[in-house]
Formats: sequence, C-alpha cells, structure tokens
Amino acid sequence: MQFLKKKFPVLLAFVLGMVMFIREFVPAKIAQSLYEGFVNWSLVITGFAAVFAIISLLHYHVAKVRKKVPGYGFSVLTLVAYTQILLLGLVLGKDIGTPTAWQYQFVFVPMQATMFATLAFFIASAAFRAFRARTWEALALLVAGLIVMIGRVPIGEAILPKLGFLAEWIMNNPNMAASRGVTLGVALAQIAISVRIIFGIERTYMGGGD
Amino acid sequence: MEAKQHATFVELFLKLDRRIIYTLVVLAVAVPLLIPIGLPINVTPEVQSIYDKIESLPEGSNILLAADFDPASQPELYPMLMAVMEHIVRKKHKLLIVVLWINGPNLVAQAIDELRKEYPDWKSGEDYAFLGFQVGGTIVIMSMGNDISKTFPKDHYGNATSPMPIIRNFNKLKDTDYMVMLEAGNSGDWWIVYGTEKFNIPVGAGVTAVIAPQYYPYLQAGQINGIIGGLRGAAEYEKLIGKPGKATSAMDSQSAVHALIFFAIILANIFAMILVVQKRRKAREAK
Repeated sequence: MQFLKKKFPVLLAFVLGMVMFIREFVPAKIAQSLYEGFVNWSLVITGFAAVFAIISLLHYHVAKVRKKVPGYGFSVLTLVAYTQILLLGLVLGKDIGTPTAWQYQFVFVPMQATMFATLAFFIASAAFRAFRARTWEALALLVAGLIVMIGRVPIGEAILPKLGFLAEWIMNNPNMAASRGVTLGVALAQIAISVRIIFGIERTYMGGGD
Repeated sequence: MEAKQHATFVELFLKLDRRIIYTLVVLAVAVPLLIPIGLPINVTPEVQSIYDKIESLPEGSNILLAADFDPASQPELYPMLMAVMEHIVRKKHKLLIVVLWINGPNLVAQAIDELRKEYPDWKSGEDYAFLGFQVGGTIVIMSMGNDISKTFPKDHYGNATSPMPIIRNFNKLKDTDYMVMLEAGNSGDWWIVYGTEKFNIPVGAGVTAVIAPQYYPYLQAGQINGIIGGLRGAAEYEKLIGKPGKATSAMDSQSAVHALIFFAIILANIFAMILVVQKRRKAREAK
C-alpha cells in the first residue's frame, strides 16, 4: 500500500517526465505517435479530474450541511443551485431559450458582472487613500500610473495630445522590461519545479496524510 | 486661528467619507452615458496591426478565435468579440471559435446569435464552427495541434464536427492562417507556448486592460502582432470597422472615471504634503 501511495506516483512522474522530455529530441514517427497518445490520455484524465472536483465540492458542502456548521445555509443554496442547473441542463439542454441559458444570461451574468463592477468603487476609494508619493520610488510609480491612466482614455489625448504617446512609451518600455523580468522568473521557476517533480524531490502534489 | 481652520479642512479632505467617493464614481459613469460627449478616439498601432492583418488575408483564410473570458470581463471583451467577429464575417474568412473558460461559451453563443441576425447567410459548419468549451487548458491546445475534430468531437450545439465542411481544411492548429485570442487571464500564455509558437501561427491578442501590460513583452518579441487593450482597444476596433458599438458609447464614462481618479489622487497627494508640512511646523514651534 505504501508503494502505491508514496513510491508509485514518484516513479510514474519520473518515467513519464523523462519520456516526454527525451521525445522532444527524437525526430522519429514513433515519438510523434507517443506524443499524440499522451495528449489523448491527458484529455481523458483531465475530464475525470473535473468530475472528481465536482464530487469533492459536493462532499464538502454536504458535510457542512450535515454538521450544521455556522453559515451552512450558503451550502444548502450551493447544493440547490448546483442540482437544479445540472438537472435542467441534462433534461432540457443549454441552447438559447432553455431555462439553463436563461439563468446564465439573467442571473449568472449580472451577478458576476456586478461583483466585478464593484471593484471600480473600491479602486477609486483605495487610490484616493493609499496612492501616496511617500518615497522617490513611489513617486515614480505614481507619475507613471497617472500618465498611463489618463493617457489611455480619450480625455487625456483631448487635453494634451502627447499624453497618448507618453502612455504608449511607458507601456512599451519600462512596463515591458518589468513584465519580461517577471515572465522569465516564472518560466525559470516552472523549469525548476518540473525538474524537482521528475526527480521526486518535490512531492507536495501528492497531498498530505498517510 | 486661521491656520488651525485650514489644517482641519486638509484633514477633513483626506478623511473624505468613502460614500462621497462612491457617489462621484456613480455620477462619472452615469452622466456621460446619459449625455454623451463623443470624445475622439485615436487608433493605436497595436490595434491597427490586428485589423490590417485580418484585412490583408485572402478571402476564405482560416482564422481561429479563442474567447477565453467570462461575464466578469464581458464589458471589455464582449464588444471586442463582436467587432473582431464582424470584421472576419465581412471579409468572408473561415472561423473556428473555441473557449477554454467554462463560463464563457454562452457569451459567444449570444454574440453569434446577434451577428447571425445581421448576416443570415453566415452558416454554421461552413463559414464558422463554434466548438464550445473543452476541459483541459494546455492539453486542449496540444490536442488541437494533433486533430481539432478529435479534440472537439461535437460543437457547442451538439453537432458532430468531423463531417463539417469547414473542418476539412481546418483540422489542425497548423492550418490556421491567423489567430485572435481574447483573454481575461493567463490562457493567452498557454496559446503562445503550446500553440502559436509551436506551429508558427501569427496571433493578435485582445485582452482586458488589467492584463494588457503582461502582453507587451510578447508584442516586442514579435510573438503577437498586436494588442487590443481593454475597452479603449475595443472602441478603437469599432472605429476601424466603422461601426461604433458598446465600447465606443462607454468611452466617455471611462474617460470621466479616469479623470476623477486622476484628480482625486493628485489632490490627495497635495493635501497629504500640506499636512506633513503643517505637522513639521507645529513640531518646530512646540520645541
């Protein structure tokens, strides 16, 4: 049992990781069919993973309702919403005009859009209170932010035509350089993590427990 | 006595009730929507190059459209989706649409429905295919590199994709002449790493204003040929196709809100500086 729980996943990650890595350098036809096979497997496995995610979500909320933990009413709401949309979708389909599509268009879309729209109020309030030039670095950030913010909307260019050009310059140069640094850092970290997983050093993906 | 009153005003301003700020934001959004100003919109080179690319392709070229967003980004990306799709339809290109975000397909279905009312001859399966959502993210892109109809055996409406005429000449990623990805998150990175770079597909990105800065390194490296950034980008594209829509009508509101936040930040900083100077002066006087 310990072999299946602890050693087999590491062995599997090592073998599959190495095979996929070496395959990149083999121009033979078998390497291509191997790749296609792995991609098909991955699609199937991802489908099952999605089913597991749904089961896990339901399990979590059913447990909360059973134990009647504070706020379990929200879990009841989640379970009811989930069950009805699933049943309606399965029985009546999801095309335009069906109850599923109606709920999406007139319940889900406005709710999600509203959640996101409230950000405008918080951003305005937070910017007013917290965006202060307390240091030279903060001042540079503040000036760049203000130029981009006003230069990327028509009113900025209407007041000062050069603002648009200045905003574009900031986006294309200092912003681009910083973004590239972040992207490269993330890519290097991804390589490092992949190597650690393949060689069994990184095992957190297997989860905790016995 | 006068100095004391002035200081109080500064402090009051810096502790401005958030409900006043919220009310000002509401007014800045609502008033220009009710009374449009119609500020001129200049087209940036990043948007122009995507338009030019679609314009330059010969009729019947294969275009892949990835609509990876959900209702949270609808105000920015839906007008972009409408404008880009309309341009593609007018140029009579073949269009495949895919979605990697689970809450996105119905928005695309809605956009197609809207567009079909205007272009009733635009046929599903022949001129376009809406392949819908497939779970898997990067794996879906890799699988599309092998076989699109196997990755999406059925389209969004439940029709088999393999017998579709459009799929005959457009069944692998490498068949794509141009791709436009509309992104609200990091799925754009997936398309570049696992799709467009691998199969050498030219691609343009339409993104929310929040993530637009992340796409500039790709633009400078030539990995994407243009960026349609946020609502402003959508308005620019609407201008290019000569059909002002939702993005254009919302530009005045966006201008007003940006101006409001711009002046609020500047005033807050000036008042904060005044407060610091006053405190230092008081401290000196106390000594």
